[in-house]
Amino acid sequence: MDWQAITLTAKLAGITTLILAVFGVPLAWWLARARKRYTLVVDALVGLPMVLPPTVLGFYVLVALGPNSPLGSLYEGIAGHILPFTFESLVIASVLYSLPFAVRPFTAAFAAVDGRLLDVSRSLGRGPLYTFTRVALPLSAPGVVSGLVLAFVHTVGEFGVVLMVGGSIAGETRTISISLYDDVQSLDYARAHETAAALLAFSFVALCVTYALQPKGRQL
Amino acid sequence: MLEARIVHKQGRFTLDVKLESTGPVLGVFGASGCGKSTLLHCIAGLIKPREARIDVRTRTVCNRPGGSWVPPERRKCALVTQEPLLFPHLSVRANLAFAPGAGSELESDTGRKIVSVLRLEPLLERGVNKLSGGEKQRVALGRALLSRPELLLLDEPSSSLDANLSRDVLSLLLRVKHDLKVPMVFVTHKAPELLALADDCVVLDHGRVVAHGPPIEVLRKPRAIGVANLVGVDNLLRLPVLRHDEEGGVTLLDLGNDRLLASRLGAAPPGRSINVGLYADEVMLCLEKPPGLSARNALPCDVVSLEHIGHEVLVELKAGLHSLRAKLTPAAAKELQLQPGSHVVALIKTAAIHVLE
Repeated sequence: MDWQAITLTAKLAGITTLILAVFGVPLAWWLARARKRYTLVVDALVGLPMVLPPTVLGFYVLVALGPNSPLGSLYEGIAGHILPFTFESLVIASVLYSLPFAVRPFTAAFAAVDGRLLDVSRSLGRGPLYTFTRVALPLSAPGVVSGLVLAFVHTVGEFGVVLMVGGSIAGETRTISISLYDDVQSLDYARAHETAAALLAFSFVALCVTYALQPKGRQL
Repeated sequence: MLEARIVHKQGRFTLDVKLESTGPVLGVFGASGCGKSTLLHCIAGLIKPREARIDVRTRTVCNRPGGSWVPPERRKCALVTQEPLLFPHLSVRANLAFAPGAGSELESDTGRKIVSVLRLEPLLERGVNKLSGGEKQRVALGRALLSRPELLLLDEPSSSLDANLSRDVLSLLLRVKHDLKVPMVFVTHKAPELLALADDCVVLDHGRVVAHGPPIEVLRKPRAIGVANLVGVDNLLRLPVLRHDEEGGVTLLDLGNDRLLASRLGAAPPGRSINVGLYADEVMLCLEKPPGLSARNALPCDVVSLEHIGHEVLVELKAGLHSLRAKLTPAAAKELQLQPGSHVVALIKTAAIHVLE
């Protein structure tokens, strides 16, 4: 098995999940609580990576991060090399690609929290932050955790976007699914079997975990 | 205690109220959908009205547009709703200790008093999901009181409970009022609750204040304002108990001018005044007292006025010092040749007289 690809993938998925937790939770809270006419467009944008071909997303991310883009040239000025085909570019692409898999379960869980409980908390003298962390978050914890698990698993399994943005540089951008692809290309079926089986087992366990957390009838 | 001027639109509904009350308990009375809950939410700060000035005790908590806006968590207006809305992930004790400072308040003398008045001691260590409806509501009330509110907002706190539990909550609220002395705004659509608890009362109808004053006065006002329809009781009387006739199974109430009203045997001591309600269509009129009558009340009355409302005639009577309304069909009014000044006898069964306390 390609242990270098496995550690790289775990690192990528871990960082992506962390970023999605930090930015996805407030975004999902807003989506769940604000009026629909304000959230509609944002909702659709967040969901886009679910229906968009990964290559399309990868292509646009590649263009957006390229040396001719403001972000790309800024990065090049600081780091001294271009942004695409680096680990950082993979993180950016993964965050975008896995966004709906985190934000949608978060939003569903937050929307299911009885708003009247939040009102009661406020009327008892607790501010919005306390109310969120001590009432809303504990009550939506299963949904938030499953969103995090899905984002992690989804990042582990991504292929098209990674290939477009990162290529296949060992130790830098060769994730486990790229490694599997390379194994098949070089007809190393034994190694491909190992990797594929490991990915299959991992995904299955992760889904079992998320389903175990959900109350019956609310599975994703 | 409370001064509010609020204009707030919510879809097709408009709340447009102006009220002022010295409390300590202001009753807000009205049918469902009249804007009672919206009013409470505005006071609590859970709704931002377009235009409003709200003063709670000495503070202006809302002066819009343009002026101050105090967020709900700094208003000290604790809300208790129809459903208890306990935090399901917390124990009873954690629910009670939820508000800032409520944990130490729980250990203080006041806290112990709240716990004992609301009989919360045996519930403290339990989870909230296995409590009964009445127990949950007691915890919700305790949680609100332990936040040391300047004003307790009660949105029909007993209406989701059955009659017995609802009476229990009401008696607890009376103790909260008298022993703990917390001012309240109390929303209800039940006249007896209003009479028992409120010192002052506003009646809301379609988002507007249609009556304001002491509950007994407001509930007795003419049907023109729609209150009688809301109450569903056309005659509301506050009468002193004269004596109990245990053997006869009746309590005699004094209508003045030697007229007595017999109700079912009650427990109020002689001399104490009680509120009684009587539907106008339960009053039967005849020209002379019939012989061999089972109804305990055959009151000689004078007809004051007659009013035709749809296919009914509302007859205003004078009985003793009080007025009484009877509802007849036009045919009956015609046959009895009723007109202002006529002498009639009103027949009322004791069972038709509802003691409202």
